[in-house]
Formats: sequence, structure tokens, C-alpha cells
Amino acid sequence: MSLLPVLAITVGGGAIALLVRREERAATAVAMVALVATLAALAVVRPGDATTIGGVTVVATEYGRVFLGLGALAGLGTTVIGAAAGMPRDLPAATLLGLGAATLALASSDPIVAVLAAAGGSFVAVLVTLAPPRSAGTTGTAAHHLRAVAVATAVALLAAAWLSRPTGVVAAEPEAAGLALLALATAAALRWAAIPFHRWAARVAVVVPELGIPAVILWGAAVLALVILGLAESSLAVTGAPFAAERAVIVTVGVGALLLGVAAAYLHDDLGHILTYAIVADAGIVLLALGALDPSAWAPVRLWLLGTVVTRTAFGAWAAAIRAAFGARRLRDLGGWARRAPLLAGALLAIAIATVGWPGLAVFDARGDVVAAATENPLTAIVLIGTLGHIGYFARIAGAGIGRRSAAVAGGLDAWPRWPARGVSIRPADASRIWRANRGPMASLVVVLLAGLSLLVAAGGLGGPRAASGGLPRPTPSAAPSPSIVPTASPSPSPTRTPTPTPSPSPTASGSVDPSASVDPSASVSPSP
Amino acid sequence: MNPALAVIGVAVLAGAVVAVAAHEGRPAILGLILALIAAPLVAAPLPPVLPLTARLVAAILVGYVLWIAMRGAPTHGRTRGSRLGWPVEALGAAAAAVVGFGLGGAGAGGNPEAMSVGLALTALAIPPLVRGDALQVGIGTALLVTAVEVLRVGLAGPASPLEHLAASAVLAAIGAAVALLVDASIATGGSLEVADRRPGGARPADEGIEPVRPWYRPRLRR
Repeated sequence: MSLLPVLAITVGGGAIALLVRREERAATAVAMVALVATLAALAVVRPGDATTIGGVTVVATEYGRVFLGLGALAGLGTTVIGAAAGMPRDLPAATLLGLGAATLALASSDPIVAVLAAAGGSFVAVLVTLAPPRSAGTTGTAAHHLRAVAVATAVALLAAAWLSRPTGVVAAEPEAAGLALLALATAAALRWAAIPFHRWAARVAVVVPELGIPAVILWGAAVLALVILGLAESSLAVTGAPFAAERAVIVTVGVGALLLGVAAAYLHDDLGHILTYAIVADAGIVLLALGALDPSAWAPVRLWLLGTVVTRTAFGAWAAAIRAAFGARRLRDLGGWARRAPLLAGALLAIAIATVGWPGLAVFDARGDVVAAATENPLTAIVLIGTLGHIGYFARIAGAGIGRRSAAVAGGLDAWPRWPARGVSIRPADASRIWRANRGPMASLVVVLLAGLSLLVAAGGLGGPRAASGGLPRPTPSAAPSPSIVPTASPSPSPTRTPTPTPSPSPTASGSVDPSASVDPSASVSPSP
Repeated sequence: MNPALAVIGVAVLAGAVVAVAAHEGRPAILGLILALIAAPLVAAPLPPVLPLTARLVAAILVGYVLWIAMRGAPTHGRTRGSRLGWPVEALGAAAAAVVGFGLGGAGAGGNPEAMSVGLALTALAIPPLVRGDALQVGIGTALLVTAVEVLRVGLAGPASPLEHLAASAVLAAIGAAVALLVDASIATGGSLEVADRRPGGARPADEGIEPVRPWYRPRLRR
């Protein structure tokens, strides 16, 4: 029940912000108030609190609370930066509605409802892609975006419907379950724009301002990925089937997406593209976790996701602040930016540390655990070295920052606060003048705060590791087993699969699946593809 | 076979055929509304009244916002409907329906009528999804999500009330996104064509970086 206020505030606030979208200031104000209210409502959420809505149990979890809290904080930060530096028109409304969708997706015990909720948040993000000013390529990009989300949703829904049946029924058809695993991976890859499904995201990088890119590509994809990983954990991993071929394909695509994404981010000169390809590279880790299909990967990937969404949002905010200050987004036009904007230079350093990390840092270790669970040496070493490739594009950006000052940087904004004019005093009537004169420094300050938040999460702060180990609600099987499908004996015994899983004739009220009831402890899933 | 479900299924597919085959926007939207309204009824037992009402409202909302967006369309809202014509689309859907019925509700608790309608709707939804026309992309998206929802009933039995509410919200979000897409297409290109599929194959100059849109506010400068 304690989640309902969060749902009401985010969806209600998002709807109001959408209704008043033509009045940008009003929409921004509504979004800020709603995001602050969301944080307050999240503070009183009690993990474990369950309620039944429309026949589905909705359970508050610690992980969901942390994820939504980070989403609200990141949304608040981007809204303030947007108010100072400009943003896509529907970004505040899309942020709130996306948070509302995430609230339901991360709390639902019915995987199909969770997928639908995640899809709703993703479809709303198309509004950001279509925000004015519209260039010639906006509609083509939005159409690509819409298609990608639609196909990812359809594929994920089909797989969820197949897997939401009792564990015994799923385990009795390992080939179909393997196809469902591939479908889940395809949905995650499509939605997260993993290479080779990245074309729509590359176009988004052109038409959507940097501040909106994480909202369009990343946040909805992260929610869908969490739902998919939860489904794989509860429905596929417990069957005990090896899924060797399917996992090999998924791991191969994951490794490719990671390495090629990092390389593409390094090669690009445009901040929007660098950010986008950094996000594309992140999809590789999700696919590796899915390909691992191993209990040792679930908690680390959830922890890594917490860090990634905040870090990429901070990176997008940083790029937006740079563009607002200097009116440029190409590295060749940003020579000497770091000397002109030292606050932003410090923020970039924090973002780089939160992205790459070092041994002992929670997010670094989590990423390493996922890679180790999915691959074997020497591939593990190659992939781990590949993840350090993020240093490359950060080094290029930093190199431009300390290089010769470009014309755009020389003519850009001063990074430090200033008093607008003599005679202006601290009173409500002059507040807007003071705000207008200091929007650049204000944006830089909020970027620093977001970078600090990403560093905190990367270090395991805000209870991330504990929340990640707790996980999300276990899916509830939604249909009774059919006598024609329930096996009385294993149709094709496999040495690594449990031969006779016995499905429950009627799903229990809690819907939890006891792995020990259906998995032979000796039949462990090999971590290698 | 349940005759009532068969009749509803025929209504769903008739609406979908009109939606994907019509060359004018308004008949296409009316067909889409019919398909979206009737699709949740392909279930046994029927969904409760409240979720059904939500689906009804969502379907009408999708049609209404598309109708509003199409008001500014030139040439009577001409859209790139099926080049093969409605008989071919209908026959393709019928073939898919037969295959779906043959699968017989492949999942536990599912039903063959829903599998049949879901597969036929999927077959109808894919062609418009890849057309370079804003309205057709929207119709394809709405039909595809609806098709998978019906297939899900065929696989795993009736949906829960919350699932119907979530599906309604997704449809409303699709409607809003597609209405904006239609509006943007008309505003930027004067037609429903999306920008990267203009006749002659010319692509807009957005594949590279130039021109960078000055979305930042110039008044930030001193």
C-alpha cells in the first residue's frame, strides 16, 4: 500500500506536466514539485509491503525504492539543469511518467504486467524524441524509436507469457524455453540499442539534446532489463537446463556490443554520440548477465545497473551544461573547456571514476563478477580490459579540455557566479534576474551534485549492495498446468537437467518458486557459454 | 470452437484489415478503433467490466487523438495503405489465423481462438510497421502490441484486471506518441511520410553531425 502514493504522484504529476506542456515554466515547476514529493513518498515506503491490485500482488522492495529514489534525484537534477540550460519540452513529463511506469514494473509480481509497465515508460519517451524544434530527421528518428520499442515490447511480452506458466511446464520444453531466453535477450538488446540493434539510438543522438538521451535510451531500457533478468532468474535459471547454445549466442552479442560500443564512443567527436555509444556499450553487461544465467550474476548486475543509470544521466547533464556554456558539442570545438569551466572538469573526473572505477569499488567489482560469470579466460580478461576502454573517450574529452582554447570556448559563458547589476538585492522581485545571470554556474553546480551522486552509488553508497542482493518480487505463475503438457517423465533426459520437475497443480498465493523443489543441486549451470 | 469468440475474432480482424489497407486516414483510424475495442473480448471468460471499460476508453482515446492529429493532413489525409489491397491482407490474415488455430492454445490454460486472432493480427501489424508513413507506423505499433496481448491470452489464459489496465495505459501512450509523430510529419514535411523515406530515396542530412541544432538558449550569453 505504501507504493500507491509514489504511483499516484508520479503518474499524476506526469499527466499534469503533459497537459501544461506548452507552458514550459509551469511544466517544469510541476515536475520539480512532483519529483520532490516522490522522494518524500519513497522515504516512507516499507520494503516487503504488499498489496493486491486488480488480481496482481504488488510488492515494495528495497531495490525498487533505491532505484526509484535515484531516478527521482536524477530527474530533479536534469530538470533543474534543463531550466537553466534548456531541455526537450516533454522531458519533465516523460521523466515522471517513466518513474510511474518503473514503480509498477519493479513491484509487480506478474511479469506480463511488469513488461507492459516498462513498455509504457518506453513509449512515453518517444515524446522526448519528437520535442521541438523539429528538424527534418526528427520524424524518421521517432519512427525508428517507436518501431524498436514496439518490437522489443512484443518479443518480451511473448517470452513473458511463455515463461509465466508453472516452472515444471517450462522445464518440460527446454527447446521452447531456450527460444524464450533468446527472445528475452533480443528484447533487451533492441530496447537498449545494443550493437547490432543500435541504429535508432545513433539517430536519437543526432536529434535529441544530450540531456534527454539517457531518458530516451537508458532509463526505460534499464527497467525492462531488470524485469527480463528477474524473469530469467525465476523461470529459466531454476529449470536447470543448460541452454548452452542460446547462452553462447547471447554472450557473443554481449561481448560484441560492449567492445564495439566502447570503440565507437572513442572514435566519435560529438558529445551526444559519445554518450550514446557509452550507453550502447553498457548493454553488453546486461546481455552478459542474461547469458550467464547464473545466480552469481543476478545481484551484481542489479547493483551495476544502479550505478550505470545515474552515471550516464550525470554524463548527459555534463554534456548539456557544456553545450549551454559554449554552444558546441564537438570535441574539436571545445578546446580549453576545462580551464574555462573547472567545476565541470571536476564533475567529468567524478563521472569517469564512477564509470570505470577500480578494484574494490562496488560497481567495478559488480561488473567484474558479471563478466566472470558469463565468460571463461582468456575471454574474461579480454572483456575486462575492454570495459576499461571507457577511459579512452574520457581521456579524449579531458585532452580537449586542456588543449588550446577554441573560439567557442573563448566566447562562452563564465563559469563563476556573478551579481547581475548594481541595485539588485536579494528579494523575490529580483530573484529571476539573479537566476538568469547565474544559470550557467547553477547548471554546473547541479552537474557536480549529480556526478557526486554517481560516485556515491559506484562506491556502494545509499544501500545499493544490500538492495541489489534483495532483488525484485518473484513472478507469480499465472496459469494452471495443462494435463496435456505436464510431463509424467522427462521427454528427453539430459544429464544436466532435472528429469522430473513436478508442477504445482494450482499456483500458490505467494507465487514464489522454490528453486530447491525443481533443481537438482548437482546440476549446476556452467558459467561458460 | 467457441462461435461467439469466432465472431468477435472476425470483427477484430475486419477492423485490422481496414486499418492496414485503407489509403485514407479516417477509415484506417476507424478500423483501428474497432480492432482495439474488440480485441480484449477474445477471451473466455470475458474480462470484468472495469478493465474492459479501461480498454474501451483507451481504444477510443487512441482513435480520437489520431483523428485530431490528422485534421491538418493535406490531400484528405492520404496514407500509405497496403499496395496489395484489402483482399490480399485479409487472405494473409486468414492463413495466419488458421495456423494459430492449429496451434490450439499452445500453452496451459490458453485458448485456440485467441491464438488464431493473435497470430492473424501479428501478420497484419508487421507490414505497416515498416512503412515510411507516420500513421501506418502508429497503426502497426498499436496492432502489434494488441496482437501480442491476444496471443498471450492464447498462451497463458485470461489476463488479470491489472494487466488490462496496464495494456490500456500502454495503448494511451502509443496513441499520444503516434499523434505527435503524425503532427510532426505534417508540420515538417507537409505529409504523413516520415523524413527518411521520401520518394527518390533522398535522406535528410541528419546521418552526420551537421547541422547541430542550437537548442541551447542564446540568451545565456552575455
